[in-house]
Amino acid sequence: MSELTSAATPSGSKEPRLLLAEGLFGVLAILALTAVLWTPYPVDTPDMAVALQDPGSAHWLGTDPAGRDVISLLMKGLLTSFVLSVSALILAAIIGVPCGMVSARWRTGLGMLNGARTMLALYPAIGAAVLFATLWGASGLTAVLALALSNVAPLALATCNAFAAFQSRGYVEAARLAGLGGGRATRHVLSPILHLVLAEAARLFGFNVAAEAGLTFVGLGVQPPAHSLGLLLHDAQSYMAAKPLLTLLPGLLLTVLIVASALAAGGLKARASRGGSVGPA
Amino acid sequence: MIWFVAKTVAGAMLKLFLGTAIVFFALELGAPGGAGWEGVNARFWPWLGQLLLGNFGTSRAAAVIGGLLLDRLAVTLPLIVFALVLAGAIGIGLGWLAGRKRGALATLLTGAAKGLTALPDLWVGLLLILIFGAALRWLPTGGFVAWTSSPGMSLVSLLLPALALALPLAGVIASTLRDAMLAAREADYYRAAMARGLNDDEIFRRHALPNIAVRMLDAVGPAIALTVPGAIIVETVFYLPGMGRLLLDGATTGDTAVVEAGLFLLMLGLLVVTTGIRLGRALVDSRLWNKVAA
Repeated sequence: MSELTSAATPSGSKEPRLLLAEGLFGVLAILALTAVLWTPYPVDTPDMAVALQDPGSAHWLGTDPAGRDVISLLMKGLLTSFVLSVSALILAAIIGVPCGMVSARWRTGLGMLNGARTMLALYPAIGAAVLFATLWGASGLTAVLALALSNVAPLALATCNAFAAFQSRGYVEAARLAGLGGGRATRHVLSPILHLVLAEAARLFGFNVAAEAGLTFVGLGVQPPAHSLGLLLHDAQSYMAAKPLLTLLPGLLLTVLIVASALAAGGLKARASRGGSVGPA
Repeated sequence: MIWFVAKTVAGAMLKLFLGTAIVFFALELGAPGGAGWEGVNARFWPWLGQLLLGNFGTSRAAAVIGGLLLDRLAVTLPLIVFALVLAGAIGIGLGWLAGRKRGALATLLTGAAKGLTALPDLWVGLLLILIFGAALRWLPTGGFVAWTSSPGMSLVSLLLPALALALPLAGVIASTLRDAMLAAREADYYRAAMARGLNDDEIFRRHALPNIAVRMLDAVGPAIALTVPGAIIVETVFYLPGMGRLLLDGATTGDTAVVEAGLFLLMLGLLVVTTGIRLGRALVDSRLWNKVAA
């Protein structure tokens, strides 16, 4: 059923979920990148005279308990979310993707990969973060390492499954029979494989964003002079009844990031299954 | 079947041993003023033996860790169980309705289920405090009433934290159940059974349910396992004196003995959950019985 409907949609048209995700990520990334150079107000100089202001013409979304502009803090926090989540993903990909490719090529690797996966699952991000924080003191770096450790196995598995799923396709077999080596035969399906791996990366990005905020909230991640959405939530908790906006905004931003990555993951997966049946784009 | 159970359990115990050893060696070798490889190696086996006997040593503040753990587990275990019960009830109810109904209501319920999966449990906790604690003033916003003083009030103080853990999981359960129910209707065995003249309820009970159960355990299993570490964050949000607090305090003060014991229990909890799910899946899907436990 689903194959029929997906074949009916023209392959040139874009996945609507992917478009929406691109739009959301685009806006958020621009906000975060702007924060590298410029924020509406400086965020490192507390000004108790304007602490806990309601939204107004000077501070559009108000100020935090230390009198800092909320929009500026949110932009800085967003930047931290992006930087930490992506660095963890890159670290994990350096190890995970080659492991997945090797396991897909040689079947014996799969058993080892499965063993490593269940072993690594014993150290969920927070467990690893506790271990690293005890050893070296909590910082953004220990949080990144913990997130990377929890990303390795899912990325490797997704890579392995993506390669395995397309290796048995007719045209890959045909290319191999035509005398092309395994590597060159795989080139025919590289695009859908890439989309599948990217889909898992997008899902993990959302996981990392939420986990970084959680780790930072409990004191295992980014430490105070730096900025993070988790720290904003932490600082807001004592003022919750009086200033609910301080709790609502960072959480809303986190949720938008997670929704965008879920949309991207879904869209990329759908695109991979279409790409697989029509051929590489 | 017995062979499969034995292999799965043995594999889990091996993993627990390896995981515990890695934590112990990392912490003891990395600690400032550590004893070096020889010294740590010599201490490992006696430590492990004591651990298995339930003797976790003493913390920096000279408190017996075993007693500390028991106090903290009395908060964390009920929290996790409560959360799983809530998540099961909400998730299955929501998913069942979304899978059965048609039209706008189904779209709305499916949207609600998918939306719940996107909420970080940290923020769900804060939102619940905001709504039920700060605005409506119905429920306590944090802290814990000891079981010995008033069991009813203890449960009340666990209600919001459990809900915070449960809602994202309920979203995963609901959307998986809904997708699995729709997929079952499209499946060949469903049409074949219809052609044989079975009625809808019978097909569902005899053919669709095992298939749905396997898909549920596959997809929901990892999410269930995540409630164990998730509890650490939720405990912090609600100022609950649970395992999470103990572990985090141990990490900030560099109390290695407490962290070792805490991480051991965290890994044990995770393994109990994942092994339970594995065995449950095998119970439903007998094709797995002959496979080697990975």
